[in-house]
Amino acid sequence: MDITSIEGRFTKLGNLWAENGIQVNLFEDKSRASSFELLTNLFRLLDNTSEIFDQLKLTLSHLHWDLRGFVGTSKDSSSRWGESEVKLKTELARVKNNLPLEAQEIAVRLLESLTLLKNEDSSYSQKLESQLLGDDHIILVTEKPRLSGAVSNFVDSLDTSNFVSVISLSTLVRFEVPNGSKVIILAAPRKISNNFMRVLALGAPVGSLTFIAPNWLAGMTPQKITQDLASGLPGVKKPIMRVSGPIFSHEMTAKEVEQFEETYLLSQEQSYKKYSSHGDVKCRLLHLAGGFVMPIEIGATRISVLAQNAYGNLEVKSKKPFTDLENGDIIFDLRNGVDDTFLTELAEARMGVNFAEYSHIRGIMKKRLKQIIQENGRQATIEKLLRSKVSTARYVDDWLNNQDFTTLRSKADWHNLLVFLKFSAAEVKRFEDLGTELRSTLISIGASARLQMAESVSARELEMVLEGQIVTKKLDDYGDADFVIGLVTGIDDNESLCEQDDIRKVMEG
Amino acid sequence: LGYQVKNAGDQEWLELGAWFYSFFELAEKLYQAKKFGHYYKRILIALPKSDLVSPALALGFSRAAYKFGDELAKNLELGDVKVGDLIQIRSAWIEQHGLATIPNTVVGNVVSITETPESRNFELSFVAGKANTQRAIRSLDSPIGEKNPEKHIRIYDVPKGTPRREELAGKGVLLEIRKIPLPVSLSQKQTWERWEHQICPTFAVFGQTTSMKECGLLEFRDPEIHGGILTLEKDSIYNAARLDTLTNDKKAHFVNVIEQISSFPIRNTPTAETLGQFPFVCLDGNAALVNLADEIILRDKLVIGLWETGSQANQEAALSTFLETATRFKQVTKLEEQLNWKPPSGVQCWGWS
Repeated sequence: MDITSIEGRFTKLGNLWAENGIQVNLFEDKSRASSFELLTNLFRLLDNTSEIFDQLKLTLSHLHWDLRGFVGTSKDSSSRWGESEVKLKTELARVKNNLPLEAQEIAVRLLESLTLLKNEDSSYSQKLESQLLGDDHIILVTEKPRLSGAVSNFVDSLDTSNFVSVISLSTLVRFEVPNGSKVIILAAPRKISNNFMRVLALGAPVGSLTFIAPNWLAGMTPQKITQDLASGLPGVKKPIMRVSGPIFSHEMTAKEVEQFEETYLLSQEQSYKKYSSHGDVKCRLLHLAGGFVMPIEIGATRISVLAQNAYGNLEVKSKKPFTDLENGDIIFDLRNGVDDTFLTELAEARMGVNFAEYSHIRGIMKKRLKQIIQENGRQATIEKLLRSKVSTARYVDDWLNNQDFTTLRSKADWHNLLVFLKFSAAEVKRFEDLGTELRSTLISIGASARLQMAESVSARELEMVLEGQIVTKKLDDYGDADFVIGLVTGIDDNESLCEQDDIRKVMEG
Repeated sequence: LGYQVKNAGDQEWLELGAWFYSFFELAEKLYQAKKFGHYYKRILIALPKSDLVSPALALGFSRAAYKFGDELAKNLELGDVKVGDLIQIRSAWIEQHGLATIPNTVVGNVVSITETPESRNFELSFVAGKANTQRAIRSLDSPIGEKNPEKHIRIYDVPKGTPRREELAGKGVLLEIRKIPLPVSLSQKQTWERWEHQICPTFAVFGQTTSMKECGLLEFRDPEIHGGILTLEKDSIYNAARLDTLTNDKKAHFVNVIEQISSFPIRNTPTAETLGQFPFVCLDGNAALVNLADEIILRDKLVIGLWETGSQANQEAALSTFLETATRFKQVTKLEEQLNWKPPSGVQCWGWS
């Protein structure tokens, strides 16, 4: 047991609540402020009752996030705002006849402001660069995972000697920050959700932290934590934040955008993907109560089930899915594939510098593979790979497109692929070692999730599962990731087909 | 303050920070408050992570129960045992191979008694499904009046809910019997018995037992208990906190227990009767709060909720479920002042009575 880590958590809490535990560094960014104001004004004018604007709203919502937290190199920045401009133009053209005149006028001005950003948008990146001096290990935290890539590229483009990790807020609140790391959150404190702010202020994953935000986003009282940290409890104390930089002259809110996101994204999250037999991965379907299915890969050797021991305590056991699993067994897994990213982020946080090295080599690997495909064509590359004894070559697109690609499942295939891509013997060995470390970290994260699952299921939930309902659960240490627990009602004897990403995901049957 | 822990096998002891002592002290203060008639009903503590916190509370409750000398097991003479009694039979100390074995115990309901001039034979029943067994005790081995722990069998009347089980391991009974190095004087034996055989159900914890048991395995040094009373150099937190499990009782004492969330007792079962004896219950972590805060069995107990604000999942559900029942009671405005207790920096707590 890591006693120092437990001890450290209370020390961090004490430090965070001390003077200067939380700092807010503000800066001016008039161009983005203007774009943001136009965006929120336009959003307000869109009819809430008509679905015709949903796509436009989604585009504006993405743009709103970029304005809040995108930081990139000048090239990335130009291309991001350029893409946003094109996308917005397309959406506006689609709904033009339904847009009120006032909205049309604002839309034109918003497009103009994006053109300006495309040409010049350096306030945020300059501010960030100025903060990356002096500390050996810096953890940059973005509000959304989709903002992390550009920030990483930006950091890579700088000639900094320190080690900088880029993670999302949801990862920060789940992992143990190494002592001595400087944590910078690229967000305005008041924009952080209640849930996240509660973890930051009362849960202290770090002993000190700095927010960097444009002043227009931080509001007129940036020193106050405005979130309701404990709804229903009187007299909740909050730490004080120390603010530096200019304070904005008036309030700017984006309530409509945030509300749309909450309802729209929630409705997306709540549905299960429908199983269809498209795809080229062979599987067998596990049928679960409630009409759900879970595609299991052919050759699968283990699946986790929850079982009660002699004293009524729940335990996790492993069964062979096609020979030992029986109707009435209780299985559990992540609810959908999107959540895989969070596992990788946790692994990244745990592996630290080794993940950075792994990620770097993975980038080279993908680049070389893409180059070969460009030169020879996809089919010819697959044939070459097959001749080089990479038996799973037909999945080459998955390897390239999967952001969280780890290693090939077969060790021999993995080795042969790296040799094929002309890595030196030492590099092959290093990448194999790092890949093994990553896989075993992922396995260990999964194992501790399974243990936590067994210990957090209540008797009532167990009863619901046994009655044939699917129960979804969040685990204390796994953030927003949903796990499902379901009762096995049958296993197909015949093989089916599915997409690679569908394997071991609960789907509507 | 001198509380030290280390992983078994580590060389270095680690002095725990004031936060640990603070929870230890909270438990002692709550125990004391109850003794003096302050009936708190709900306490919510917002803290980053609950690891080691419920064990710290258990240590505090264990020490308080010992120091106040509360003992619910009452001496019973062999001849006074009646059918229907729930009794504990405690053997004498055994000394061999350089070790003294702390007396083992059997707890069962007396369903019939047969007598001979020299002895009484009790038929004892245990939990449903477990066969009754006979225990014959000679008057010679349990004479009337004061008994010598080194050679006499002792019988005690124990409160209902005391876990019933045989004194021998096997057939599903997993016992943990302690042995201590010789020499052990008679007065030391009596001290050990007051510690190891205390029947004073105090604190029940529901949560993630694996993590709690991991904490329990840590070696621990409490200068007062280990240095002053038991004359041990160290002990595990599990032993020092006198923890056991509700569903599978392994130790002679009946003081503190931990249990999985899914094993929370169903009403009108023997385990529910056992839980009924505990005045203090801890719901350790958000999952425990979400799932158990509204359990009717907890209505009249002092429930301590450990709300893990360092874990993102279930935060709001944990808080709202806890508040649903807590707000039926009257909020205590200055809990910390009333208890004369200072929480660790950044940790907040609320109380209802």
